[in-house]
Amino acid sequence: MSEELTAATSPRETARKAASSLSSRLSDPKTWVEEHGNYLFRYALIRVRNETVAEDLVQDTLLAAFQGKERFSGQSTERSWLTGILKHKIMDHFRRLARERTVNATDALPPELEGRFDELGLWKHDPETGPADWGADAGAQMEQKEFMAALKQCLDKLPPRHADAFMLREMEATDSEQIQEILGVSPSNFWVLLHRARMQLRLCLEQNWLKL
Amino acid sequence: MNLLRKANYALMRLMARVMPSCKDISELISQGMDRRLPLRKRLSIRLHVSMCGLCRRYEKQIHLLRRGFGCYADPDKNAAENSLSPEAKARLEKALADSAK
Repeated sequence: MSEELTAATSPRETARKAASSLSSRLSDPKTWVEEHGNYLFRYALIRVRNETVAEDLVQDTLLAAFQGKERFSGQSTERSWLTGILKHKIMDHFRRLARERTVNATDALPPELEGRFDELGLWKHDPETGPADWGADAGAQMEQKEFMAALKQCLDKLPPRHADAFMLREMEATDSEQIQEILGVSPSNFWVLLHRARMQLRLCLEQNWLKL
Repeated sequence: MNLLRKANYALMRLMARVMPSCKDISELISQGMDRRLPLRKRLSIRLHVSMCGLCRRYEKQIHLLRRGFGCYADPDKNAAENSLSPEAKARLEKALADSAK
């Protein structure tokens, strides 16, 4: 109440409000598919790795956005507002998947990783097994198509739970507790899944992208 | 140089008996990317990594992996994923129009 009064009496505040409502009004929903459809679809596809699922999630997102138009606060751009809704839909998707998936308790370290360590748990001292030298410009090459294609293949090769843990962890706006809840795993299980995903991805990239 | 490397390896083997091994340290490095580890664990990572070139490499590479995934996850940068087909676009437009009725 008092806030409204101050807002009404302060010209600066009124001006600021007018400016922000100008810059952040939603466009006609009819234009959403044309404007953002491709971005949202690709955003979803990269994360769920299935075109049908990605399209469904985008549809759910657009319908939810349409129904919740009034809740758009104008704090963000239209696209990031829609992306925010999509993120929630993606997390719900992973939650459903985790419920359907039978939990494989014997997710042991795959032999190709286990074989990288000796009986003391040291990287085997053999150039064939330890992490290889990626060279100085590996980082720069990561924006290229070859890297993207290799990473996609490597993610597809991961056991699904490992891939999901990694994906959710690296996805913006998800913290570790939330991911544990989504995947229905204990914290210690989660850290193990994540560690193994990284180990396998690192090795897979070394072999299939850098071909070392 | 080779002799030095052998001596370093012998030392690592000795230490692996009393301290975390590469296998343990690689797991801790990964956890350390996502949560703040207790000081003792952070110190044991730093000590190990200061002596172990392969774990140093591992650490660098999984940080690169995170950066690379950042590009991969960006719909504007990822060149390996398909775009929305015209048919799918039409389906989405229809669904949206239907719900507006």
